[in-house]
Amino acid sequence: MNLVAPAGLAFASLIPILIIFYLLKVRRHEQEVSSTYLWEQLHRDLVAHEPWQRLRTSLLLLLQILLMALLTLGLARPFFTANAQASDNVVLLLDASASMQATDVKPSRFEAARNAARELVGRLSDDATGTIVRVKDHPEVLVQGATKNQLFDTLNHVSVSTGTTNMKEALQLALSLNKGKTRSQIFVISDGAVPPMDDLQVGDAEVHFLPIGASGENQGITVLSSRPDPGDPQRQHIFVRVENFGQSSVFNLLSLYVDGKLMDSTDLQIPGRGKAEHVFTNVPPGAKVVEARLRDADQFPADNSAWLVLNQVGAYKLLLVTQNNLFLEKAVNLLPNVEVFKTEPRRYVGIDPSQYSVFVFDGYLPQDLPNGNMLLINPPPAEWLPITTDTIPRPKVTSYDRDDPLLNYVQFSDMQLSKVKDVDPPEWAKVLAQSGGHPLLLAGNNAGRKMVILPFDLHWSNFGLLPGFPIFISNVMNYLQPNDPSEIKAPSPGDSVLIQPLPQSDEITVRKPDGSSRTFKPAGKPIGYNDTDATGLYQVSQRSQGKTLQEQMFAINLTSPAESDIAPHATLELGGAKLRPNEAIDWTPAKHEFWPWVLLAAVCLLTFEWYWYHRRS
Amino acid sequence: MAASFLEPVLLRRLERLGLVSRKRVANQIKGERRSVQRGSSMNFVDYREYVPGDDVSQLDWNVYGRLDHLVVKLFEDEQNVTVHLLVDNSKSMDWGDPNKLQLALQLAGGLGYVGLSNFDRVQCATFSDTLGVTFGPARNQREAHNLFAYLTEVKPAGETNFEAALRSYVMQNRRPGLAIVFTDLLSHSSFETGVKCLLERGYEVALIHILAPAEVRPSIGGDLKLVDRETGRYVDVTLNQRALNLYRERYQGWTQAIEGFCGRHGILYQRIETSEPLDKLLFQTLRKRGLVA
Repeated sequence: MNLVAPAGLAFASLIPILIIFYLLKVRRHEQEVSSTYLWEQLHRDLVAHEPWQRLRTSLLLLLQILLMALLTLGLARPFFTANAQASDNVVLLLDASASMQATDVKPSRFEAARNAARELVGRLSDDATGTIVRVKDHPEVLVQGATKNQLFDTLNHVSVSTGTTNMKEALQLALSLNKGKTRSQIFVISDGAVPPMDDLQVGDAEVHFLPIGASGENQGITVLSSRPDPGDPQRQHIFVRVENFGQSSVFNLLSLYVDGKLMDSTDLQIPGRGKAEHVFTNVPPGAKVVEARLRDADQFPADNSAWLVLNQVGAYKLLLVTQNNLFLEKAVNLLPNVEVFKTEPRRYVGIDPSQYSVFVFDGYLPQDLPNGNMLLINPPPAEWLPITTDTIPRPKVTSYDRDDPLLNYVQFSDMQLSKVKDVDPPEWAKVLAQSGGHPLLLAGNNAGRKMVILPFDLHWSNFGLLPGFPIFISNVMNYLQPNDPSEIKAPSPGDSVLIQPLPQSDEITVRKPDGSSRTFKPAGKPIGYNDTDATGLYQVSQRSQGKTLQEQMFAINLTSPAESDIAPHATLELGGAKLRPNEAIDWTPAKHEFWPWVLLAAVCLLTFEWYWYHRRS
Repeated sequence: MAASFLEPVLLRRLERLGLVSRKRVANQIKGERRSVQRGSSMNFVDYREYVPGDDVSQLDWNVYGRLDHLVVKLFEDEQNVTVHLLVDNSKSMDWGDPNKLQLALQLAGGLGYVGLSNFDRVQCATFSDTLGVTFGPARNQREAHNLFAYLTEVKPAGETNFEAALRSYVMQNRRPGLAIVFTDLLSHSSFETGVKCLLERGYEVALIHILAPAEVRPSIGGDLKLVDRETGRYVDVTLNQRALNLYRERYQGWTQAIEGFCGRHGILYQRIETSEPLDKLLFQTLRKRGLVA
């Protein structure tokens, strides 16, 4: 400890004066009385005739001497010297991905990273500012341009996630935050389990890497998938891949649980930095959920289990309303799990549409649309569908979306058309194929009903004769079929999940793996659910007036080899260069004055002295 | 002088009172006071055996005729009393509002006037460290004027020394009687020794203990240097509640010790505060106490 203003110690000369005050007797006012006879010997304090008195032990005196000593110290402005950041601004990229949950560093890598960040912040000069970015699948700026105290407070509240690391995006963000600033540094506090970022150019920015982690021993499930049994489509085969990210070969027991019950187990020998695969073939028909689980716990338990929701689609009813369309009838009848009912447009009014889940209207559109998804072929104009009766002759397919699931394996460009109706695409519809600005295929969700629209009669084209036509119809029905679990994609932790509400649904409840739940009012629009940090099974209940319409499930798994590979990296590959730990950190000794704390102690002491004095008197 | 010392109305009321002496006194002069000394009045009291030398005129011949035994008749003797008014005029008495010395002098004047009105022999003296100027003896009401003049001239002086002053007084006066001592007893000297001098010489002692209310219930406070008016001594005190409580305890112990001493020695003791009116003290307090009747 040193002093900025040693002259302040002169204040200590008042301490002897204080003691003299205690040695001196109290100055008293004279008061004449008839006699002091009765006053004498009342109290030992009452009789003392010397101007000085013996110094007695007094807590008040001790408190006041201590108070004077503290004030003297405060006036001398004490400080201690510590290495501090030379920069005025720092950006801390704190890795909060799933691999930071690893416990090879006690209590966890994330806690170690948090402590490292605290130490860095503690070394900042008092007037420096900082930014903290929580790095996971998407970077999250927790605080920007904050003071040391704000940085400490933020670090106290930051938490780890179960998501993947997108360090590249985080670094790009940090670089943009630092742009134009001098004396600025970026600190990456991570286990380095991130993909190479060779294409990221940091320019003149000063980036430092603080590696966290000690061991890379981990086995994790990186693939869990199902496929129908070729011999019995009602049964499923479960494929599991387990990878060993450690250096030595290990044995582990892989178990498969079906709907919560153990069904099968197998011993796996997994070579170092290798993988082992297994297919479970004896899953009973009707199974809904399977869970693959590794027996031996390791330093990273998040990837030791994985869940899979099996296809839950049952047979559904399809109503085909057409006036003899042979191509269409044949293609629809080829669909599995579909009960096809056919009627003519003039008889549609006599049918109860609530019996059917999917409708195909060919050249016809009812006045009142039924509840359900539908394929509209050559539809007549309607209020909600701005389609003309005028046709465009000989349109050519100028473009179509090959990547859309509806057009998978469909060579739409092979189609020849004699004419097509002109459609003004509604807002809810996406144009998937067009001819010079005239839509040829539209799809979208119209107020809770999924619709696919072909604005031409199949007889006006050769589409029905093409090999891709049955595939197209199959794709369309996969899109339109109800209760499609694929509607809820199973993403990685932290991703947003899109939940499609049923037309009748007025309430959707999502129950998390820990049992907590959240309820939404769908209002006919898809719901983006993003509280998916926890791995496990999520249940989605759709209800109407308290009655359950549909129960769905989706699984969130950490099947990411990049996260499961928790081996700490001593270097960070960045812009073609390798970043080493603490490389060229510009430390400089800095004075940290702590007189405010001394002053605070003096105030506390003064308060206590006041209390003590009044308590005594 | 007398008119200004005590109100005429008060004097007229005092004429109806008389001092009560509870002790037998031997007096040569027959007065109006009824004494328990057997004497030659007409009030028969008792018989006793005849011894040679007795007045044969006092023999009861009727008894001799019946019993053949010589006895002498004893009669209650009516005598007057010598009243000694002893006023402490030390500096400690010159204190308080109303002033303690002033009240002591008025009481002495009042009681002296009662004595003179009953043809008692009245003597008066002041004392502090020594005996002061004395007055008397006076025997009748006409001399009350001189008594009041004497009392008016009394000034506070000196420290109290009971033993020296009272011993000196009894040495000068060979005629004991009712000694009424007016004092505040606030002295380091032992009042007991002085009072015992009076008792040993056959005086009947009444002690009128005069205190100011501020001495009984001090109302001062703070860091004070208390200066003794009489001795000039001082005491440094921090007068907080605790110190006042200690004072009260000491005061109670002191007064109880005085009462105990007086009780043991047959001394009539009356403690009065200067805040009490003079007529109430004379006609109620001292009357109840049996000093006047």
